[in-house]
Amino acid sequence: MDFQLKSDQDLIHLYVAGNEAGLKELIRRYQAKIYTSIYLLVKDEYLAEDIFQDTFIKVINTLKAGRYNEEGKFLPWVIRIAHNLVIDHFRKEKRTPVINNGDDFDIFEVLGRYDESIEDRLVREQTYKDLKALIQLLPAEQKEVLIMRHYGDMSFKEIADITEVSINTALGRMRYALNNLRKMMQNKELSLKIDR
Amino acid sequence: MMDVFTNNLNSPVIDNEMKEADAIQNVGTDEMLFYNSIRADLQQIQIRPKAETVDRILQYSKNYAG
Repeated sequence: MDFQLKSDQDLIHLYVAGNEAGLKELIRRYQAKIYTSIYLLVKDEYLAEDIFQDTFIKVINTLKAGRYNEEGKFLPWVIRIAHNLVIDHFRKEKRTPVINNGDDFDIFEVLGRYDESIEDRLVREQTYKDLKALIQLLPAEQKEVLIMRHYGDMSFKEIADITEVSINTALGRMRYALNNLRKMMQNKELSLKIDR
Repeated sequence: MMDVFTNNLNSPVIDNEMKEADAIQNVGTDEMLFYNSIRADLQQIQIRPKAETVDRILQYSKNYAG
């Protein structure tokens, strides 16, 4: 039986019926997206490992208890669980992931304060195109939407529901995230051209 | 008097689908062009958890007693 050809729903059915290979394939299929989503939010690989594990423990408990809602898609459901665990973690730590001054946040306000150290790091590593580093600089709400949309394969409605905002707000945050990423990438390219 | 019936076009499912379609359209052409240009990079920066973590998850599942 080639599990890689099976749909998520078929794998879930197999797993609930007792075939552990169903879960193994689901993890293989989505582990990178889920782990990356968590890591980009918490910025700590050890913490991301813990949250990834706790996420799937919840997934297993729900599936085995027969409480999975088949109407939804598997990946967005798991991302939602992971997101809630990340939020729980930050509440316990009593800290927010990134400074946030609102949805019209200007990324260069942050870069201006830390410009020298970030500039040195990026130039030294010659990673002005390191998208991961630039994503980490985004405000939490914008990073969240980008991650859920791209890695979580979520609709804007799902994102809006999870983050408890309107669809328009979720959409606006996505636009700001993309615009800020583009500005940062353009700014780094311009800096390198001038330096040469 | 003839009664005229119209289909109710404002069902919740259709309404949500229309809102989603509007939202995607409103992201903006420039933003979507940029997003498409970085999609491959976003895929490339993905990282996986450690094999040990996955093994622990699978072991938990095997030992699940409800």
